[in-house]
Amino acid sequence: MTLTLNLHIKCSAKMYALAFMFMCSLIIASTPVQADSISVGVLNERVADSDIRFWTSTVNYLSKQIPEHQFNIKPMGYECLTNAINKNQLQFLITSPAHLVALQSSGARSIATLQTQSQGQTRDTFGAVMISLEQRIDLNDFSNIKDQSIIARTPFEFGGFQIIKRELLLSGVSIENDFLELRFTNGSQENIVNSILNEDADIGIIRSGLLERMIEEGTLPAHKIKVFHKKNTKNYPLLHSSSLYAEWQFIRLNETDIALARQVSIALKNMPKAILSSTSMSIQQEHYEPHYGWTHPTDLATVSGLLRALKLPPYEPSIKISFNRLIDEYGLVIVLIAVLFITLALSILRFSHINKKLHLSQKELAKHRDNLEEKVKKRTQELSQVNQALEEDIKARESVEFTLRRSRSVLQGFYEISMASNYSHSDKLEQLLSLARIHFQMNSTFLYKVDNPHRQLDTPSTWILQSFDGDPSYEKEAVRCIQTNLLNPVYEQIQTYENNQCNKRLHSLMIKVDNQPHRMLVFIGDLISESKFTDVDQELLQLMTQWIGSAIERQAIEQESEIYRSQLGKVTRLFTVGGMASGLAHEINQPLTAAVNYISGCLRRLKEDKPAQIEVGLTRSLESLNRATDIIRHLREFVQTGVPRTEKFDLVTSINQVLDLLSSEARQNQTLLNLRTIQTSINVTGDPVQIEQVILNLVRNAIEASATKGHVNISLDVLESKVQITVRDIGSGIQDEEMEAIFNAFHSSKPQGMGLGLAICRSIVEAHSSHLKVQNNDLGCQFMFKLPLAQNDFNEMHAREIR
Amino acid sequence: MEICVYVVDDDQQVRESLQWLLDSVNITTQLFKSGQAFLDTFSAGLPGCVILDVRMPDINGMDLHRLIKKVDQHFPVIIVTGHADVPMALRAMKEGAFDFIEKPYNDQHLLERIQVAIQQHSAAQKEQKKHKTLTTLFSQLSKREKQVLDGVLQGKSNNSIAEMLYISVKTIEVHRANLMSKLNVKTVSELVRLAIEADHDRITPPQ
Repeated sequence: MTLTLNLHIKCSAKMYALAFMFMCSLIIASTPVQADSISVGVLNERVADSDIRFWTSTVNYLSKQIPEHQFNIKPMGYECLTNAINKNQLQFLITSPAHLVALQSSGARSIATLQTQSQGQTRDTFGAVMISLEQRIDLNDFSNIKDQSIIARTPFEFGGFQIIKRELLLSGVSIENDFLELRFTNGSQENIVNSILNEDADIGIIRSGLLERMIEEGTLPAHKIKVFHKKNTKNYPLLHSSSLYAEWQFIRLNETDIALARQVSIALKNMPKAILSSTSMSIQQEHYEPHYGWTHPTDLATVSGLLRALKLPPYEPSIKISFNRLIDEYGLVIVLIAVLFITLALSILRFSHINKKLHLSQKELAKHRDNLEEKVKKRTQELSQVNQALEEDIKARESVEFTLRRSRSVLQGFYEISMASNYSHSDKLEQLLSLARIHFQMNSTFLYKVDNPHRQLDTPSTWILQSFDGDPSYEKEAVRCIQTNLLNPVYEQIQTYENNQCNKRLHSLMIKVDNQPHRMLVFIGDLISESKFTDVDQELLQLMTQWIGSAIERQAIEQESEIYRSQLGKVTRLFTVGGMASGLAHEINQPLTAAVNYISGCLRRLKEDKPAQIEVGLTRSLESLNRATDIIRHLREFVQTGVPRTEKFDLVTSINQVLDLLSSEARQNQTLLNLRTIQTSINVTGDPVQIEQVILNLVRNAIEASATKGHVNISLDVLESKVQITVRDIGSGIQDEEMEAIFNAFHSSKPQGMGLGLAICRSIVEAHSSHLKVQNNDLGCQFMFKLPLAQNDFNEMHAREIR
Repeated sequence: MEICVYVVDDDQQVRESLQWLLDSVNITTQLFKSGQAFLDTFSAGLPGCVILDVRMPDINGMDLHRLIKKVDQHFPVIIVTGHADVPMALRAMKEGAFDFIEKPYNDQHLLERIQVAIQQHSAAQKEQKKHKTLTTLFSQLSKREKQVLDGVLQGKSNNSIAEMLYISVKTIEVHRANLMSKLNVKTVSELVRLAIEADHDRITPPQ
């Protein structure tokens, strides 16, 4: 709404301006200045009809009073007027006091001032008024103007905008910045009053006297508009918000004839008062007459003061650049540029300094290079000398290396023998003795067992020959040597003896087990000049005895653990039975319950004498009891710890028995047990009870590893003379790091497990000369072992294959 | 509907032997090999009782018991198990089992418990049925008829009832005849007996 109105006002203002421009150009063009024609320019700031009428009547009056001249008015805009003045087209001018002050420098002088009358008093001053709606009680002073919009005619208007601007400035308020909005209508001042009435703006700026005139004419209802920031001036009855300034002036321009001006001045002062109003309406006491007449020129000091304060022409700020302003506005930039220059200069200085230094160091470098070349020559000579020394050293080292290599190869041999898994303990010992004998270049070696370490060692009768290598004829000599020369052998050290008479040499060392002498190792051979028993050889011998010692210890421990393991087998068997007890209770209870039901039913029928029915009942109860007996027999067979037997038995039947035993457990876990085999019976040799236990353990583990509703497959595959038994489950498999440990006793992944099951299984399988293997497959894991087929079966199967 | 004992056990021998035993005392049985098979045919309001084994695949006895209670809260359930422990028995009884019997059991004891269960259940069902009939009978009465019945039960004459209710004696007589015919009684003494039964069952007798 405000926007469209604004636009409208702007448009109309433009049209006005255009119209005036056109008019003034028309006037200037159509009426060339005549000798007796006097042009009176009028600043077209006040556009009321009454204004025009008054100016017209004034010039008409002047034409009448000074008949030799014809006076014409030329209303123009500010710019048109300035143009016309510059071209000397005007002789007189009716304009605002501000315009007069601006023109004073070009010699314009006032010859009369407009007079107004109101309430019987004549005045030649006027002010400006700030108006708002009567009901806006919040608008009384400048306290809350920030939220208000203000409206004025034009920024060049003296009798309104400029006066109020000055007034606000005196109160410390900037009209441009301190309001919500500042708008210019460019129309008439009545429009401003109307805008306030329509609430297009909060505050309006108009000339003093306008309100009173509008009320008088009836175009404005009384008490609708109030004056804002009201002032009281003595002898000035009109409403005003500002100081008062001189009224409009009748001006003589510089080129105008002074005599004519004086004539005009006198004529104006004598002009009858209120020539307009006297014709239209009767003079009343309250009446306001804006065009009462003309009087003598007034003082323009207040107007000058205003123009100076607002920096308006002729007091507009000069465009001359002052040094202080320059500093104020561009200070920072100047300082920055200065700093930049200083930095640049400093860095140039620094670079030149560095350049000089560089030159110096270059010279020094050249000097150093020359020095270095000399030094290098000297050094090369020294190095060649050192090189010769080194070459000699290398030769010495090579011989040492040869010895080392020899001992390394023998050590490698030691290692291979000791690590070889396919040799038995005694085989390893023999190989070791042979290797050492060849390495030490001896004829024969003997290993004696020391029967009683606490007795005197000098009696060879306590020594028992355990093992030997090489020529056995040397033994006599060896025994003799030890007896005669080593009466008090020191256990820890190698005893070396060389006899030049019989041309023999001998090395011996005591082997200790549990820090007790246990074995005696003796090497004997012919004395050969070039053979040497080096330090390395000594260490080798020490190492060898240590190995033999620890091997003996290990053997003893293995024997112990074998016994322990067979005992454990019994213990686990009992544990397994305990774990199955609750399952078995149910298994046995079922047929027993059924039998009880049948028999008591029979007893009841006995009274009714129904023999046929009783027979059925008794038969069925017998079936149930037989089932219970089967279960118990299974259990007994399982618990019995028989002496390991090797007998021929049917593997399929055995496995089926085990699966029967486990069926309740499988049902609880909702696991299916499948036996996959092509043959209905496979006879194998072994201990049936032990094999059943292995299968039971493996299948139980598989059931526990399976998720519910999984299945466990047991498959039998005949491979030549053996049958391979595989137990597969569908579960999470075994983790790689656990693979190693699962066969160890007391290792278990189950919270209640003893960790004995797999250890026992392995020992049983190994007792049947097979290996228990475990693998992860893509679904879970599988355990495998092999059993030998019974001889008859083996032949039979092969015969079938051949056929 | 005929009284029947339902046997749920996954073991065929046990199932059939129990049928044979119960047959000897002339009790009809129906056999089910799983809890689901039983639940498929079971519905609320049946006479008889059910015997469950605890250890069964899919739905075990304890769970099946809970499911049966959801269908018919009053149906007697006897749980039988081969390896009972005290907490399990306690839980079963707390959840409203009729009895918890351990295998192997004394056949006499089992038969007795079955009989008791059947009798108690059918008595309760009869009681329930009567209660239902009385409720329907008394719910037919209008508010005014209930007020008249109240007066009659307090031994008041038609005149004093009329005074109490501010209506004419004739109207009282009409109401009285109506309520007698609605309750299907001929004499006052029959009416009183019916009312006492209803009161016993807490069926809202007249205010």
